[in-house]
Amino acid sequence: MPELLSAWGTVEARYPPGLREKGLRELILSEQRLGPFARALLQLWYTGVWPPMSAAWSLENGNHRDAEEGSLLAIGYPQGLVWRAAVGIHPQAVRPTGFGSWALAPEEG
Amino acid sequence: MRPSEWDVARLREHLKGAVELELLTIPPYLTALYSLHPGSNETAALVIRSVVVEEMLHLTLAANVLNAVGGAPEITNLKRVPRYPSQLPFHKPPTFEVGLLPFGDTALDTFLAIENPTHPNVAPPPPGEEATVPRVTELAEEEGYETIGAFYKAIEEALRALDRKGGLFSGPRSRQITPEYYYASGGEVIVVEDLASAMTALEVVVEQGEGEVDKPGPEEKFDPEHDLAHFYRFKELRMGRRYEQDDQPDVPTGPAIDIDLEAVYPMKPNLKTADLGGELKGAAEAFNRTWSTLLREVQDGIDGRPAALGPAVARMFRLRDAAELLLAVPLPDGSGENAGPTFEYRA
Amino acid sequence: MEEIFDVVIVGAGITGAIIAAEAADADLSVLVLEAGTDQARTFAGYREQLRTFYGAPFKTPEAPYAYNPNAPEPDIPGLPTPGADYFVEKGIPFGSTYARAAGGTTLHWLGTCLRMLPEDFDTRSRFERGLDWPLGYDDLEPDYRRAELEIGVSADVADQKHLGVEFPPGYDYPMERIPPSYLDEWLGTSLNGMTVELGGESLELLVRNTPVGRNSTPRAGYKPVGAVDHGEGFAPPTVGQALARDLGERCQGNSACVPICPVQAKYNAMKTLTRAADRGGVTIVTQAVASRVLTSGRKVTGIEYLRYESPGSPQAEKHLARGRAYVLACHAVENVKLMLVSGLQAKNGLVGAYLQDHPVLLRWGLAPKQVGAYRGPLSTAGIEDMRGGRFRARHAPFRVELGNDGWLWPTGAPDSNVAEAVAEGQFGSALRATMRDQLGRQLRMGFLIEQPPDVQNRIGLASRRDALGLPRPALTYNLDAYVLDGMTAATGVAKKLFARAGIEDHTDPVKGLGFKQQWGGQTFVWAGAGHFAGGHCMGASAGDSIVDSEQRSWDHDNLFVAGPGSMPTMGTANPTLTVAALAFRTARNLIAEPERAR
Repeated sequence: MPELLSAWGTVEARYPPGLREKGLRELILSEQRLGPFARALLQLWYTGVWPPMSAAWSLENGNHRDAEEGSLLAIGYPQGLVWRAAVGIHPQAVRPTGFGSWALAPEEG
Repeated sequence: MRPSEWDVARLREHLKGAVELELLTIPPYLTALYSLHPGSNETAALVIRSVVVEEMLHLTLAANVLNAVGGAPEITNLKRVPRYPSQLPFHKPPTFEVGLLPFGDTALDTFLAIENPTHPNVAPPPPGEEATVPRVTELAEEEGYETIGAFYKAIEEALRALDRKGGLFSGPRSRQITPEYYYASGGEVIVVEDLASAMTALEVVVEQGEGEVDKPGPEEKFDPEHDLAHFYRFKELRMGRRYEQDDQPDVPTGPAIDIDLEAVYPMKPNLKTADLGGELKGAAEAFNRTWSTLLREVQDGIDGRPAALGPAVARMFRLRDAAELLLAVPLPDGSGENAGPTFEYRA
Repeated sequence: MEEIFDVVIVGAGITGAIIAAEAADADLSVLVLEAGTDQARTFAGYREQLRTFYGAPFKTPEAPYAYNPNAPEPDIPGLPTPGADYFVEKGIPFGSTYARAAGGTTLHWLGTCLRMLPEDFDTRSRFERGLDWPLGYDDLEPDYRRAELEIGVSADVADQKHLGVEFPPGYDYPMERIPPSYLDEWLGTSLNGMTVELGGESLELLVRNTPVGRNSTPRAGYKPVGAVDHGEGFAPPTVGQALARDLGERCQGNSACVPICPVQAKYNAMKTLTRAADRGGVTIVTQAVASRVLTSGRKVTGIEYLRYESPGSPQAEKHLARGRAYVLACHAVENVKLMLVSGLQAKNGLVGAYLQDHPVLLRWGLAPKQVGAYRGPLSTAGIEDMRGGRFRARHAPFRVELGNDGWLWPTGAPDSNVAEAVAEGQFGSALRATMRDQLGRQLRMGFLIEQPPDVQNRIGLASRRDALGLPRPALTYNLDAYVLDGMTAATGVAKKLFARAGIEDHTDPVKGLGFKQQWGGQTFVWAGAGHFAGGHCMGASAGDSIVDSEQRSWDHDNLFVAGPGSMPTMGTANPTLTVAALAFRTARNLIAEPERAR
């Protein structure tokens, strides 16, 4: 994680604001160690689940699955960013939309 | 002027006040409810939610009475729409402030003051005698009313007096909210078409809030459906303890209630959108837009177009989502306080 | 325990709860033995299950319910969860599960309350398929109404009259139909009125609202039942406001009917069980696993059970429950297990035979516009027109369940969509835009295929044992050509429906999470429906069945074996409503005649 943050620091320093996405691709996502880690982090943000890393990556860098995964997931699951991508959708059993809301056109709902 | 001497216009003005009063209580309760971390403090959340839905019922009942006597609610009237901090309408000064606060003792004390069942201007009945109806109706309305119960007693007296003259319940039936439009609470909407139904409706409002004030002792805590009245539900939270069946009204002795004040967003009290900038300002305005649309839907609903209450249900759930997005964010001023819902009506 | 009860019931699910409540109403004394816990008795306990669900890595129907080694329940085969190998299986995996806890499997059912079609009751006579029931639709119709009242079904009779399903004049369901989803209405605009050919028969299709046990707008005189919050020993809440009660009076659109409705707007049998307890005269003992039915000649004399203190420890004490009449109501598989363990093996060898499910063919795609997936109850409508017809002589019929839940079931969306997009290098606003575009357009259809009873598909005892030393169930299960030809026909229909509505087909055996089945050059993706039938089927004579039309054992005068296991066939209706109707029928007959010498 500190490595990832320091790599982001480098991106901020070297790339002007408009080109930071390019920097992120070049210095982080395509990097052998940081790339898979950053992608896993994205999945965690979006879904609350830390995905299994490839066997090769884990062999090299250790296993990053947390022993307390269940309790973390209990907090992370309702907050997954994927559910903020569109109005009206929501994770199962979290933030219900109210009786009959499902009958409305999705733009309004 | 005694309520028995009011004219219909004055009665309607009071009933409009009743609708506003019920509406006014909802944002403070909702703010406290939303300030609880999701999934935490479940008892507190259930208690506040149970009160909020009954306040919505009270708003609907007050509107039904108002509509039945030929009036029209005006909750989105810019002169009448709630602004916080506020004071209870028709309340006798010196009064307390009704504000938007996170869950905690200060908020609960406010809620207890709102739902206060005691009628300090009424002497307790002499030992061995039955309690009489409080004589608050002798108060001049210009002085205001010390409790919500007293306010409604005055309205009831005026209704009785005006009904004797005949023709009072002239409002069209189509303006009544009927039971299919209202649900999820320990009470049912009452269609008001005569004095008896009006009285029943107002009794529900008072007794769900304050309990059966005419039955001193343990029974005083309950409404006629034997649910704890709002005042006593809040009292349980304030004392951190449940009531047993036979407890005297002032001290609950039942099991402790788990309350975790750490699991509350430290919202800045009575926040205004104007205090915010950037994305937070946008989020607050988004909240206010949802709140304003909701108020317009409710206004439509109680102003003769009940079907408007359908989308209002979904709107209430979106209101909660919009509030959550504010409450989870610390203010950039380093105060340690978080943003929160501002409940500012935008016409 | 010395007390002799009028009725001893094994199992506190919907069957046991209904029979207990009815018997209590008739002033009989009732003992209910439940193998699992009563965590759903209090609202706090129920909400704890919700938190377990949030933290569960695999959000299966079992996810909210803590694994109980003393009363284990199955999970989907193949998952790394403790229940996944509860069944010892021969043949293909059996993909359906049930719950062992007070409230039973209704804790995680979808809530669908379809009646069986009149023609479903005698498929042997009509189509030379399956088995005939010893009773017909008209015999069960009054009990269907009673069951609809008990469950609190939301539907409009005007929508439900089809394929011979009739209602008495003036009848309507307790609550108005659940509002159709935007997706239902959108599909209806392109699919309603189209025709498909099945076995040379032309059938006209209609997207039809599904009757469900979820609270909606009540019709006059009906009061929706909200969440349960009862005290120790099922004592009713005594002080003040029952806070949970009001919570579930309307469906809120939590989109989690399966595996757990957070507010109990969806019916679960705890509502009936607490009604029974409130009535008085009902003793409910939980954490009590029936281990043996004791008999003497043609009479049951007692039920031995193991009472354990904690699911975490196998320490248990043996007790004996005694009654005048006995009801086994612990679900098809556990009923059969208990009978076999107790040596109640009928001469005809049919205890355990005829295990059935509805294999669900899964098809999924992207609608041409945002249709509002991931909102509302998981399903609010179906296409019912292919449930009946002469073609049933040739291949299995099916109903189409329309999903409001995107690709959650077939692919594990939206997590799978996120994983895919991230692997493609998306992040930030591009990732959000992809999700915004895709999720709301996702659409899933499940084709629930009828599976007629096959004597080879059966429940037996395995040599492996659970923590209390009781044998695990051994299942033998396969899909036959009639079912697979039904899947072939359903696949053809699915393609036509997608084409007609402009849905881009994304069905893909590689990405699909279900079971895979090859047939006629195609690979089907399918899953279990959670629907069980068979094991102790009812029939017209002792020679060909285990119980009669009252679910009364042919072999024992004071024994009833009740639940989905008694159903000789299900047609294409999910079994719960029929199971509930049968429970009312059984209760009435049990009260009138607790024992019948044959």
